[in-house]
Amino acid sequence: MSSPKLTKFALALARIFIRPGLTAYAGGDLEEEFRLIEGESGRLRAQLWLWRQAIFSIPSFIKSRIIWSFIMMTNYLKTVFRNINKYRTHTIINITGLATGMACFILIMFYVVDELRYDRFHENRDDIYRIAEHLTNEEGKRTDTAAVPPPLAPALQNEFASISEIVRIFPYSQLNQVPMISSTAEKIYPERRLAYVDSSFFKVFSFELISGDRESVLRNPLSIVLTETMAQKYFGDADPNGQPIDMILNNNRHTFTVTGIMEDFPEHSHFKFDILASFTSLQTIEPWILRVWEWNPMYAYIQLADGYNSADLETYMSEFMVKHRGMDEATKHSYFLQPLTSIHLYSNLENELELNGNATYVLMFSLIAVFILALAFINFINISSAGSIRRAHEVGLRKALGAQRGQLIVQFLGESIVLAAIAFVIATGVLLLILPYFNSFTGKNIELTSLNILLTLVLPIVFVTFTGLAAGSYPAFLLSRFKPASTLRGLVTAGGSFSGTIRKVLVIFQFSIAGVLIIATLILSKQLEFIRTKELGFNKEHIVVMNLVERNDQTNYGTLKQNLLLNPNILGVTASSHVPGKDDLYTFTIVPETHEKDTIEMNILSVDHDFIKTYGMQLTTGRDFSIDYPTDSTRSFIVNESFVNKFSWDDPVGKKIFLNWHLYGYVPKSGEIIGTINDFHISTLHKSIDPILIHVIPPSYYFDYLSVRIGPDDIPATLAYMKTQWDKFNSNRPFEYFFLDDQFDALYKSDTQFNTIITLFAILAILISCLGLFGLSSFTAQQRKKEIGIRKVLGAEVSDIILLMLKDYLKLVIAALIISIPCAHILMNNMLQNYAYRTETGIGTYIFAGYLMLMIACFSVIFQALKSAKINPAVTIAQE
Amino acid sequence: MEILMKELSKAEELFLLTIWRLDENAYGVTIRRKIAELTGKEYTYGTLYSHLDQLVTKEYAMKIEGEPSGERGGRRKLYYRVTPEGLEALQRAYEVNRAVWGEITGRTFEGKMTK
Repeated sequence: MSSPKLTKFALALARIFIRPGLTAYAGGDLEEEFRLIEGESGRLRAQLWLWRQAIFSIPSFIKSRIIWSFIMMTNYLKTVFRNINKYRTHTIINITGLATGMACFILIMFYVVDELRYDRFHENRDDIYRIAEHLTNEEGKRTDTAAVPPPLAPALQNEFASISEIVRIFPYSQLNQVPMISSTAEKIYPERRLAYVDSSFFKVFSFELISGDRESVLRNPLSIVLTETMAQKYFGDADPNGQPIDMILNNNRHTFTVTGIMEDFPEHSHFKFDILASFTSLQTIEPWILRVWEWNPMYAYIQLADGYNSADLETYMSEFMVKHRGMDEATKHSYFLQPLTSIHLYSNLENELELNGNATYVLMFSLIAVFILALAFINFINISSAGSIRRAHEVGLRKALGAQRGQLIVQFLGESIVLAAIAFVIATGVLLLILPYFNSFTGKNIELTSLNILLTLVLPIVFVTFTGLAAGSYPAFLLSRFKPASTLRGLVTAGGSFSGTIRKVLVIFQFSIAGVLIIATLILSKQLEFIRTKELGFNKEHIVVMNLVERNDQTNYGTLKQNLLLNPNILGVTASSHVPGKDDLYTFTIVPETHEKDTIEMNILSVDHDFIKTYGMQLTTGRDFSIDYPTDSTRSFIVNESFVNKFSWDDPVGKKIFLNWHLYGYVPKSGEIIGTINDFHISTLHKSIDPILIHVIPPSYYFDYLSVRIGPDDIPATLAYMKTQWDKFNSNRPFEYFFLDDQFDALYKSDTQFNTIITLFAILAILISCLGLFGLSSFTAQQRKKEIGIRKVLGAEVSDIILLMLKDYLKLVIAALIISIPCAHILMNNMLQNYAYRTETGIGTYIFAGYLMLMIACFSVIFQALKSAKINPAVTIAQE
Repeated sequence: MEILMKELSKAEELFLLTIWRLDENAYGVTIRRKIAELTGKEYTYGTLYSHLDQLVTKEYAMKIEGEPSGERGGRRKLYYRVTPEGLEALQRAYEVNRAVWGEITGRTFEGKMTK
């Protein structure tokens, strides 16, 4: 190789594996030694040597590179930490705000992900649909229900090739009938989560079977599949397969065989059961159920065959209904399909299997989470850029010493990322603490480890980097812009009016969000209070309700009632088919005397003579049921005001009505109205009050509830007495009861939860906004040191200074209020439409919210204002 | 300013000593050759420079740029010198060595008598 070529080659080699900065020298060294060796041992040797140099230099090169970058990084970090310490208050505020925002965001994201996961574990999930019903009554009012009649699904499967599988799920224990199952010898357990399911259950759904064959495990009648927990409960460690297990219904004992064990139902399923029994068992136990079209006790799921779509099927289904059941029936009952994965979030029909989630909530919470994070970011940006004045000096210095703008940007971004990392660590800590409370509050079971390993490592890094970059870019660019000359001479202002405006806008934005949340909280709380205390039309205090499930109980309750009444603390006992706050009323058709050509669907409540009295309802005309009138048992009706209004009767008493009543073998009857009562809420205030017809049924028929009004004194004693009487009277079922007012409150559980969450968010938003304002005001205080000094010299009092500072910020808050009030108003109107009964949202609420926000703003700013007001002018002006 | 008095590692001792022995003439080529001559170890330039750099960072050695030389096509050589701290470190190393090895006579390394 000639000289230049060798040189280039050697140089190239050196560049590859020698540290930068030494390349020139090393290149020269290589070349020199090459020549020496060439001279000593010949060209070939020399070339070999050169190659050897190249190859073996690589490992140590890599090592030194790594070590070097390590050293760089530690040095870097040292600088960053040093900077952080210098501006301690600043950074603490920043980190706190950021950590709060992060924690909030992450928590909500977990919640959202959890909600979105429901029912996704089924392999066939894209082909599975639930059949639901549109129920239209006479007036054209439509209710949608998730439950369908038993013969529906098989009929459809017969007719349509597009349905490859059907699974009916009959949650038997939901009917207030809790069958008790005992193993061959031991205790009797009342089971609440038992369902009869078709044998296709395990074929269509992907639940894990621990033992048993998926195809056949529920094929035979009287087969039962237990969950792991149930198997443990009934059989302990023994093998349950093939063992008998009994179900006790109406004094009949049915013996089932355990044909399989399955894993406990996962959290993320919209239905969960403990025990599955084969559907075919119903042939033996209650065959009449399978033929009834008028009753919707079960749920039907279908699996679509390949190549068919659900929309077509829905159209064919309605044609089929007309053909099969006649035009009338088809108009009243039409069916539609719901995709499986949409049920949890979007389905809110009557009779859902479980309380479903709510897509609107999920969306809203996600938005709020993003907003709160945005708040935290804004804070960060504001505070960092506001602190620029202090760092301007540093920036000028660095630049004078040769730092490039790019380097500075990287430095500041690096600082942001480190801050973000610290905030993240804090946020995680906070999350770990809060998670248990969050879980119990929402009834979920979220764990921080629920994502796979890869995500758990990658996501935080991405998140932190993103946060650092997003929040840190603006300050970084701002700060690096300073010119050394101006900063070192102290001539720098806060980046000009442009960034000042941006900062102001950001603060307004923050407070607007906080404002909306505050108003929302106030109004929702008001609504909740309103609901809780509103007159229900009857007295719900101290009413203890017992479920009558067994036929025995239902027929023999008379003795129990008498015994209970013996206790002086028991003020009234009544039996009824329903109680307020639980289940909707059954509807039957009636023919009132003025509308003889119509059959009108009506809510029917079946009671004994003492119902109106026991519940403290108000009679408006006529009289109450009474045993003194024998016709009351067979021909008397009491109706509510809405009923009267519906038919526009001036004088309802005496009007004749024909009640087309059929259930469990009752017969239709004719009768007259003997009295009317005030409207009362039989269910939540979400719904408006419907007309109701109340009639008495004789004690030999079946009531579902026994309501006992007790006196307020010594409730435990009264309950104990009730228990003794119950035990004496009935041995099959344990004494169970609930308080009616608890039941009503439970209806509003989700509302209460929602309210709490919004309140929390409001507090968070306020916190972050305050932090922001605090940081901002500290900066302005710095800024205006000189100005304040001069003012003081000119005679301003401390109070004047304070007012001056407050004024600026209060202007911002007022602007925020102007934005947030209309927004909140619209939002709240929307939300309150959920309720048929609403509280009014008066001006007072908005005024109070505004007052609150102003106070909060003052509070954040006042500290700084005081500090700057107390400054000695001599110090500040002398700095010139 | 007190630097933490850490002992020289074997490699560091070797390099520093070589630099010292080469007096004014310690640069890439000579250092590498000297070490090869003394110990038989052929260090590649990559490793060489990384070790040399370590020594400079620890302030045991310092770099001095030489004059541009024609034979290198106008590029400079980078000479290395031992700093006073480096000398101290070498001295310590020597003393430790001597104390530990002492006057070993009469002991054998597999049949070979020490001198």
